[in-house]
Amino acid sequence: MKSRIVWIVIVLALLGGCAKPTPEAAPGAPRVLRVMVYDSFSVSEDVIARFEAENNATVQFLKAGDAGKMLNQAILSRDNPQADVLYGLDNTFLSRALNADIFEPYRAKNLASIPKALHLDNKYRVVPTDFGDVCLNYDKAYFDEHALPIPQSLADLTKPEYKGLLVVENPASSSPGLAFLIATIGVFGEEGYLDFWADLRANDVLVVDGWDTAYYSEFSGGAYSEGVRPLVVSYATSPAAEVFFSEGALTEPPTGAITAPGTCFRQIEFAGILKGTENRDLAEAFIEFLLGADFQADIPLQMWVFPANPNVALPQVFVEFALEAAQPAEVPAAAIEANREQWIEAWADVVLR
Amino acid sequence: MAFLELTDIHKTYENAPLLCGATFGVERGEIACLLGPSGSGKTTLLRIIAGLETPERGRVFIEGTDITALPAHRRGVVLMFQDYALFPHRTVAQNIAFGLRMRRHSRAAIAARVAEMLALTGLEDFADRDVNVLSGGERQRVALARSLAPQPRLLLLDEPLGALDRNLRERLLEDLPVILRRVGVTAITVTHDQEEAFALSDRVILLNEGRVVQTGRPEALYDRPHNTWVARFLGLENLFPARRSDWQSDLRIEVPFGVLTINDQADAPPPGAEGHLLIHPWGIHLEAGTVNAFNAQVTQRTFHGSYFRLTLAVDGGTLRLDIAPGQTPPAPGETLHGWIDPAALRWLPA
Amino acid sequence: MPDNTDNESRITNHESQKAVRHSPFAIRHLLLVLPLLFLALFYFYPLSAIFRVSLTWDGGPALDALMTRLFGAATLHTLGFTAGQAALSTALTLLLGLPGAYVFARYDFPGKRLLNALTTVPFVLPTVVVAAAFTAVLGPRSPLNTALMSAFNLARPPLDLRYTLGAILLAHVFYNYTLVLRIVGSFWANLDPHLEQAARTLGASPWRAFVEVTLPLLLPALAAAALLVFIFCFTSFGVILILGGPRFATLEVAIYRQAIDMGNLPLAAGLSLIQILCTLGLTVVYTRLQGRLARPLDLRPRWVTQRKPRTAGEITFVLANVGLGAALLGLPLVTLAARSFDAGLRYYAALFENPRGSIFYVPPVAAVGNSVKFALGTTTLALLLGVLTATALYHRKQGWMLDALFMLPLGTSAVTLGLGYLLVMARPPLALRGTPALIVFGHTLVALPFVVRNVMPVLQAIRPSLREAAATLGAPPARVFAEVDLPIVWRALAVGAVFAFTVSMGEFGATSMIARPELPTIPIAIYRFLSQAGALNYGQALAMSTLLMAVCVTGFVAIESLRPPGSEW
Repeated sequence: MKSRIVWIVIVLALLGGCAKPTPEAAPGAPRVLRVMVYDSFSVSEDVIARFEAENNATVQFLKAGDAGKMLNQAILSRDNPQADVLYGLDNTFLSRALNADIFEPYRAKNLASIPKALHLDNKYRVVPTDFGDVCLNYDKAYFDEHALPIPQSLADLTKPEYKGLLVVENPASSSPGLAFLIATIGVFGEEGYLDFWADLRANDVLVVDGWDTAYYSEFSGGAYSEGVRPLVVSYATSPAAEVFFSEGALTEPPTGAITAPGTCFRQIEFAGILKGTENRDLAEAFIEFLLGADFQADIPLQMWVFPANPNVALPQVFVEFALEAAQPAEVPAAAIEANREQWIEAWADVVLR
Repeated sequence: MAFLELTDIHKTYENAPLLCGATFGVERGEIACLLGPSGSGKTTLLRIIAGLETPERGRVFIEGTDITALPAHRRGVVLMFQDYALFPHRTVAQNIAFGLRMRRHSRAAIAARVAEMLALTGLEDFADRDVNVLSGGERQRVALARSLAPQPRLLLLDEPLGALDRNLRERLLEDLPVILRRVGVTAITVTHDQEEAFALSDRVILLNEGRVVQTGRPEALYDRPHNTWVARFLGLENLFPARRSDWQSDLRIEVPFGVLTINDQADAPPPGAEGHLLIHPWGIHLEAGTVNAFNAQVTQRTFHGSYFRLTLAVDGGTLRLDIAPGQTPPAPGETLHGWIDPAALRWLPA
Repeated sequence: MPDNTDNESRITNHESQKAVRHSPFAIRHLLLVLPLLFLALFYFYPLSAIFRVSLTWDGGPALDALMTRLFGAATLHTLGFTAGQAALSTALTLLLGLPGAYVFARYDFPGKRLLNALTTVPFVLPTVVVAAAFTAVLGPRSPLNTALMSAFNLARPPLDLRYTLGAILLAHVFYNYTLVLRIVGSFWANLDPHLEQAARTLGASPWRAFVEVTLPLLLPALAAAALLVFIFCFTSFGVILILGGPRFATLEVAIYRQAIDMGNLPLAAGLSLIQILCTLGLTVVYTRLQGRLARPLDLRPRWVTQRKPRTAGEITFVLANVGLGAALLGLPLVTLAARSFDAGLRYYAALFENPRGSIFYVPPVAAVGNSVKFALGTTTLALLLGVLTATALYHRKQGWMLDALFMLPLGTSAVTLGLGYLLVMARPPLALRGTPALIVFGHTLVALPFVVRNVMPVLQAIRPSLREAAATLGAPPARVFAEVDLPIVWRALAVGAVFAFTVSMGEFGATSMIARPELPTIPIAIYRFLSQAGALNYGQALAMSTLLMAVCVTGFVAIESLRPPGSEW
């Protein structure tokens, strides 16, 4: 008998745990806006607090893995969306998102202050919020010591003096890796990029799976890098981050970014209102907020990318050490989506097998 | 109705019948013994009484109540296992206290009863010992103390002396019934050893091939086995095919080595019946006699310490008997005359 | 007796017997209700949902093309590599782990408890952190390589295991050594040494005695450990990606790539199914074998089976094994912890600061608190369900199929299941998306097999007469369990609890997919630091990892010191 009571208690406790009611908004209480972001998204508390105060809202962020994982989650749950707004979709995944039809069009007023070059969707389903350039970083000390010139083009990388110096990320599993692959396609074309990679392979390029492995374990340049290779595929803002996170120990970055024409790929990030939202007005206000000065100015030090709005003031460390690519390689988003898998497979055949 | 009643118990094990209609009863305060060769189903019967197995057919009653469906822990029937099944994670005293704790006795009552049981079994100094380092005899006594502590309605002992060495067995063969009678518990032991069965029990229940073949006080069983199987199992080997003469008034039995007279009126077979005659060894006298005389030749003589065992060849078989070493035993090869006391003859139906 | 009454009594007899015979089975079925319900709701339901969706994905896949790819050479190659490296890893782990298990089972030596706790630490560490530790010890800039380079005047570091099969194997041993040590060791510790001693007196050499007597008796635990290690390596993800590099891919990696990067859900689902079927086949073979391997034993308490090493040979053997464990597990961990102090306490201090005012700043206390809360919830639920499952299944001949079912979550691609959760946890009856409960449920799914696998061999080894003796002494079934089974399986349960705790503490993938940012865990914090360049970020990741190790060791020691009286096994 006693044991039976115990069972009932356990079952009830479990059910109780399951049936936690979702909090119902009382009248006048702030409305909840749910925003889906990727893992490395970050924003200042006071900036969000201002938005919440102005709109009588509570912003709930939902971190959904890396950009690819986030997008797939959004597509899978499109019938029953997890969030009102999605932030952090980049141009390599843009076509997949647009094809899956997960966004509601909204022509944002603040879009006026964003350069036309960043607008990639003419139907206003997504708005560009920021951009970052994936490019080569180099170990200044190594190049000084060996009196080696800094490579100025992708083709330079196949020269014998750079043999065994470069580490790149696998495009199949890493976002900067994919960006760099696309850059090579932009530069050498679909017919030429595989030859370039074959040469690169012959020149002893090292491929690792993630940015963190490449940067911290293989690259030699960062203040905390363990590796021996002085060239790595990273971001144009990485040198600035090195200075910032050295906490005053460094006044000059130990690394440099190569931003010469035709060596970089520009990742543009977008935000959009997810279909099925019940807070359309609040979501619109949030999109305006993302493009507004407050948030745009907060972007650099939180996510180490450039704000889409060129008029906001950049922090000192960006002004001094962060570079923008001169002429990033260009490949249309639709082409990326259509060919991604073939490109990666063909690349893997040449470089890995 | 007896204190414990089993009726028509059936049980198969891996598709082979193990018990086929066992029926018997045990009276309150009685110490009964289930005796039988291995494979006769005696341990299974014990487990059925304890509630650890369910019969496929048949009922178990205690004090008139059907307990066939009652789970083991509510029967008040304790089984002492052959391997003793002492809880390896508990001390001697904790093992003994187990059944009392299950009955929710107070701490003080448990302590008192445990002390009492330790004293009863001579384990006073062992209370806090680890059961894993005890000797066989000590383990047996702990198991007994643990079984008796909760004052079971019925105590079941599965081969209680089976795992012990000879000297210890001999001693416990005397101690065990004394302890059991002192506490006045109704008990059933299981054994394959007739000596153990006779020494321990008030009554023997003899099992063969899943059936009860005979029950009775040990002396009665030994004196008057129901059939040749029982006689042979009990070690009574002087068995001869026999036929009663056709005359009603005449209690003479023909056996291969002659014609013997019996004085047993009650069990006498009908005239002309065929069966077996059992000759108890104590009725064989190695001297010339007037009734039931026979001639035989000594074929074997073995010394057993307290007696000699003689094997005599008679026509159509052998006779075995034991004689005290005080007398001069005949040597093998000797021919001798003897007679058989009619009181030592038992007719066994075919 | 007239015929009709006879018949009647026979019928009633029969009926009463039916009730009798079925009552214990009915109870056992009831025990399974909760675990099965759990499995149905949190495993089969989401899994079937994702499979269903993948069939209609993008207007339904071209089945012919899908089948060609699914059973093409690439898949076969991946499958072959997956199984091959898993088999090698398992063999290597057993080979290195068995002597360790022996030492921990049979000898008592100072520092044993702490060592025992420390061996489990690798299990919680995120792969990135482990890779960093390996790089520090074996990498091109490690002291070893530097020494070799200057000694032989080499231009390049001579020793570099990274991006080789060797690195994968080494990492798998690093992670799974503790499984063998714990599961086999705790079983071995209760094995009666007399058995082996008897074999010795019968003329067997120590080696023969081990092979002929001890090894067969250890098989149930050995098989349980081997199965877990194999499944872990079979579904390996992070180790393959980070330490193996892009040239190696397991099914798990292929599934992730197809599902996330290529957006090819149908192919991912197909590969997942292959992976699940492989796991199922393996587990079925195991569970069928296990019934044959397990036999009731006289389990002995540790104070009977263990002693201090005495002879010089014994001391050397113990030291050699402790040394091997220390080199294998200790060196990377210690290096990692040491480096977190490179800047004094600066990296730790920085954990408590939020200079950029980020809304996602994770206060270390909160991360530790959340991790511990999830871990405790997971441990509790996994223990409850695991004990129910093991108790219901350990003596059943037909139990093997069910037993195998409970192992399946371990062999299921995390990303597939995660996407399934996303689909079904959004609406009633399971509107759990984003709730902390869902994280606990997800972790429990993975932790449950550890509890079951640890407890089952011991339950099977308990002599039935012990339980029966308790029953005839008046203990109802639940009491029998509490008084006999529980104290005897307590060690195994504690080991299961440690693994459940660990699985939850270290888990990252599922948490990152279903967690709310308000409830960050330690691994999430570590990944956050590692995603940006700069010394401070890296240092903080190291500091957070060290914190994770410390919390885990504390947790293990706490779990193992929670013992009911009489369970000092």
